[in-house]
Order: sequence, then C-alpha cells, then structure tokens
Amino acid sequence: MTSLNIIKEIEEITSIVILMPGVQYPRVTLDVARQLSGERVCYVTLNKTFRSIDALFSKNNIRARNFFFIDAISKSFTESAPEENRCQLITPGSLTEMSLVINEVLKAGFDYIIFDSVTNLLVYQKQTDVLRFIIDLVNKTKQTQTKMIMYAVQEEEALLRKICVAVDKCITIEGTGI
Amino acid sequence: MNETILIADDIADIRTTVRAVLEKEGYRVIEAATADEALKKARTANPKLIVMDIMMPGTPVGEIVKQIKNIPIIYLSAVRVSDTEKKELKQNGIADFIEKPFDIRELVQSVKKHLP
Repeated sequence: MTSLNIIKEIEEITSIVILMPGVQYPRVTLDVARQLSGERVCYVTLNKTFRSIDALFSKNNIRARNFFFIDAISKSFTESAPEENRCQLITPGSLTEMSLVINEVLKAGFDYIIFDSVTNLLVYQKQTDVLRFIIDLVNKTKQTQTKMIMYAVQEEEALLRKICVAVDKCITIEGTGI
Repeated sequence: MNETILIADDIADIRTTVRAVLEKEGYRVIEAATADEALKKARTANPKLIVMDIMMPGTPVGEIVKQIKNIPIIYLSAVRVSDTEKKELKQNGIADFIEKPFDIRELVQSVKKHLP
C-alpha cells in the first residue's frame, strides 16, 4: 500500500481535502502527521481530545514538537485545561469561536493547518453553515503562507462534493489505499 | 426489572438499536436526541440510568451532565479520549465510558453493573 506524499501533493497549492473511508482514517491521519512532524502545524481536532492525540502520537513514535492543537472536544466533558503552550480548548460546535481562533493561527504563520475533520462539524451544524465556514476558511488561508489540509470521511457526499469544489485539490483514498 | 433507562444519542439508529437490546433485557427505555432533551427527561421521567453520547448538538454534554444528580451515566462516544481522561471522568462521577463502535454485550453488562 503506497503512502500519500502530503508535502508534495500540497506543494504548489494552498488547500486540500483528503476523502477517505472510515477504515483508512486511522492510517492516513497518522501518516500525514508523521510526514509533517518536523513542520509547524496547527491541528484542529473535532473527534479526539488533545490528550488522546498526544498519547496516540507517542505510541506511534510521532514527535510532533511543533504542533499546536485546537481541541474542540474536551470542553464537552472536562474543565481542566491541558498544557496551554500546546493546546487551546474551544467550545464544541462553535463555528464562530473556531473561526476566531483559526484567524489567530493564520496570523501566527503556521506552515500547515490540519482540520480533523469536516465530517465531525456536521454533528453540531447544518450542512449550509459547514459549507459556508469551510469556504470562508479556504479563502482566508489563500491570503497567507499557511497550507490547509482537511480530512473528511466519505459520508455526506453532497456536501463533500461542494467542499471539493472550494479547495485547490481533493484526494480520494480508496478502501485498499492509494 | 422494568427500570427505566434513558438513551440519549443524536443518531436515531443508535437509539433504536440500544432500545431494542435493552427492552429485550426487560428494561423500559425512553429516548432523547439532544443533551437538552436528555436533561428534561431526566427530570420528568426519573430514569434509573442514562446512556449518553458525549457529542450531540446543542448545549455541550458536560454542561448538562453537571445538572443531572443521582442518576448513573454511561458515556457512549465515537470521540477518542485518553486513558487518563477516562479515569478522570470516572472519578468525577461518570459510571462508565464505552467507545463506539461498541459491542452491545459490553453495553448491556455495563448497564446491569451500574443500575442502582
């Protein structure tokens, strides 16, 4: 099974969506993180807490020293803030708050933003609002040096088709890998 | 038995599956599709136990759970949390934490274990 070369795929563009079946999701997300482990990355997580990602990366020998996490999960059930120099908690489902925080991230000049994942936004928001949010995010990213990588599990086909039109490139991971 | 169990999950298929299994075990099951609805039903229907998805639209589940007193809560979740966080949740009163996709037998065992 060949790996996706994310740095090469996004080299000449600013935004990319990686569509994948659920079964490939763990492998692909770890693979991308490993490839970007030496870069300055902002990791926006909507389905794993910061601490679980930290544990997962450690377990898989991914040293993400220059990763900063925006954790849109932990506030669902905990008040205790994790390491503030590595993570910021935001209110689950708040596109406004997410947008504000990502604006700050874009000003800070990260090399990459990983958005994990578009599919999880739909738990909290209507499709139209998610689409508007994504398009806005993609347009803002174009004005910076930061590159945007978005993950999407292959559900909600209609929405994903529209998002694929909004970004520079859409890569589909097949069930057996690419 | 006939104890009332509340299942709160925004995904109807999950509620239907859990309902079918728990009713077969002899429990009475009520449903909620949001955390806010779960809070209302916790107050009015007096369930003996709540099975709740950790990620639902509306008010964050954690805010709602703080307002539910004296009813054991089992979290069901597709969200991945660390082992440390699971321990902390249990120390803070959550009866159990079951990750999706889950084995329905695991859920039934947990319900039986934590029903008062």
